[in-house]
Amino acid sequence: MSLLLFVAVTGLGGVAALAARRREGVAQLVGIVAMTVALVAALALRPGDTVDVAGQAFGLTLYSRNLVVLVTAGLLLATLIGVATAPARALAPAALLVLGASAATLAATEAPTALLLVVATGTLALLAAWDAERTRALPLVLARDLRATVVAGGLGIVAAAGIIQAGVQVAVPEALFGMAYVAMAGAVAIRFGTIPLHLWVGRMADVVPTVAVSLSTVIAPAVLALVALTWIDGAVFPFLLPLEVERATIVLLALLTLLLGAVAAWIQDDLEHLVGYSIAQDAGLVLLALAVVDTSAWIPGRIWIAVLVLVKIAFASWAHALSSAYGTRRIEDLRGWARRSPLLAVSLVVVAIATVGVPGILVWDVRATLVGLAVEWPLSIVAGVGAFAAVLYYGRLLLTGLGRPTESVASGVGERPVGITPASTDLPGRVHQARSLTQANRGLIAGLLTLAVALMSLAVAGGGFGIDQAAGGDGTVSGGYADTGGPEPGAGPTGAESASP
Amino acid sequence: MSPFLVAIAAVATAGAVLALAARDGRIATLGVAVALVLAPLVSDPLPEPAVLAVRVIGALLVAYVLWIGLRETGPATRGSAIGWPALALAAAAAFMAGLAGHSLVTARETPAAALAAGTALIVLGLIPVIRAREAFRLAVGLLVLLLGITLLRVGLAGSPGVLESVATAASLALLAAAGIVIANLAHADAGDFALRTPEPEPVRRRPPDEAHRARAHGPGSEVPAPPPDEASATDRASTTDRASATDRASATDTGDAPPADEGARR
Repeated sequence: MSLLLFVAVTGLGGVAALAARRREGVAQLVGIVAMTVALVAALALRPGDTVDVAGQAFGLTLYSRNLVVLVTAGLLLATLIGVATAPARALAPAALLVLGASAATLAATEAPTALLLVVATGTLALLAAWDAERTRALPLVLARDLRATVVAGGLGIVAAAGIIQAGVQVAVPEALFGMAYVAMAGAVAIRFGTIPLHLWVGRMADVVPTVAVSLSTVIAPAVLALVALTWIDGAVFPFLLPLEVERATIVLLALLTLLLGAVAAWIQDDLEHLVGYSIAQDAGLVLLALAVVDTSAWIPGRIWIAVLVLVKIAFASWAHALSSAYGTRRIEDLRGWARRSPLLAVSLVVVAIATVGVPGILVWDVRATLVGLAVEWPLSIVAGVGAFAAVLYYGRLLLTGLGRPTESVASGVGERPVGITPASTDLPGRVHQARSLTQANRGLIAGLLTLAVALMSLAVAGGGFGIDQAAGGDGTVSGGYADTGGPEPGAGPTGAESASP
Repeated sequence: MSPFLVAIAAVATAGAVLALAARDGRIATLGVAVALVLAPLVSDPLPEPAVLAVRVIGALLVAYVLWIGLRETGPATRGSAIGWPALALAAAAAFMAGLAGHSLVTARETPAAALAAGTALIVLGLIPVIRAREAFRLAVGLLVLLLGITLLRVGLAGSPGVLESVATAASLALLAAAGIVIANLAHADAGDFALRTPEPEPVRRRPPDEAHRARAHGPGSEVPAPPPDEASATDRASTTDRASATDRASATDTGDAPPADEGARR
């Protein structure tokens, strides 16, 4: 029942926020209130609390519940950052509807239903472009995103249907499994925009407000990846087929993405393009998880997907706060930003650590485990270099920030606190003062909020919020299809001691 | 193989051909509605009344969304570049291939007609989806493609349950809404549904002597700096070139040219 409540709250809240979009102040208020209520509803979600719909029991496991709570909290903070800096009126309605659809997808008990809901989730994510600037490129960019959504979902459905029918045959053709496996992994690759299927991602980051870009390019694809991970464990692994060529193809895609994605992000001059390519690059590790045809990659894969979602919400929020503060997206023009925005500088360092990790924290082990499971020496060296190449663009951003401030940065909105001296006694005066104070300190507020979401992502990357334990499941709580795979209960967070074929 | 199911599948496929070949958006919408309403009937056994009701309501919703979208823009579309006879032949070939291949690709007691119609609709839908030149045709193509995939799923793995039917109807309706919004955006920009790749800004090339002068006045140069007006003109030229170069690099990344007003946005 708690799941139904969450879906209802997000659905109604999303529609209400959408209806109020013409009046900016009202739209922001409705969006924040609806997101806050959605967070309360997410916290009220109980693992294993199922609801019977048309003969199927819908429910969430602890992992899915925690993921929904964390993403809702992250998007609430992102919405507040949007309100404090450059308005992104479409973020709250799009986020609410995507959250509801994602929860329903994670709770769906059959693969085809989950994959159809993935298509619906991706389509709803396009709402984030509702208040995008009306450039001539906008229809083309949105059309490409919609096409990627449908083609990816369609590939997944065909793959799932192919295996369902193949399961009843006496002599199972290996080629059929191979094609279905590649189709499912290809669906994830298309949806994340991994190289060389990345054509739409950079442009999407270009037209959608940066703070909202994670909806279409991270959250919706991540749900598909969770379904795909379970499908490979449940539908392909039990047949114990070698699938060497297919695995090699997926590993090749992953390596290309990890290496070229990092280079593409590194050389970008546009902050939003950099965010888009960084998302595509980190999705290379998701492909590595899909390249392992046994249950050992299930837990690290799920942990990485949770970290990826949170980290990219934080990174996109950081980019939005930075570009809004200094009125430019060109990295060259942002030289010296760290001197005027120390909170954002700390946030970037936190995001970088949460993404790449340092020895001793969970995400480091998870990334190393995924590389180790998917590829052998000497390719593991290449994959390892690619996996940690993200430091290139994070380092470049930080070094740029430490330089001598440009004119844009010098005249932008820094984080130094600003006070307002005259005190008013009447209520309208106090309200006006509060608004003025907020407006004057918007850089500081955005910095604090960005640091909060960055620290949240670091906590998840370090194994906080129980994600590492929940990712393995305990085998006693029933959930959706996406939660039904994996090794025997009790396997460690990096899945190293779990079953192999 | 039931002749009844084959006939329904053939009519649904004909609806899809009509949807993709028509130059009038309203006729295309009619074709989509025919395909969407008949598709759930290509099932053995016939679906439960609840499933049928969900799918028919979903189909009508899709048609309504497309219809009201067209009221804003007018119905004229480009239609198919290869014409309806070619589309019909491609669909017929795919239909026959699906019908004949059913026993080869599945051992289940699933309807061959669904596999046939699914194959035909996927082939039809892929044409405008791969060559996405017009927003309305892309929307119709994506609808036909997704419908074809759900039919293929029925042909391979059997009929879906109520919940999957609800998910199918919801996905199709959302897809139609998103597609028609994109079509209306394209129409508002240029007066038709074409998905245009914006032309790049003309690159201003500096004459060699100006470029040489700019280098000569750089740091460490002994050549005296030009007057302020001339210097700022040189700076402007340099900035323009740099911005254009960035745009060109970006366009190379994504396979298309940058929007014309991108420079202004930055």
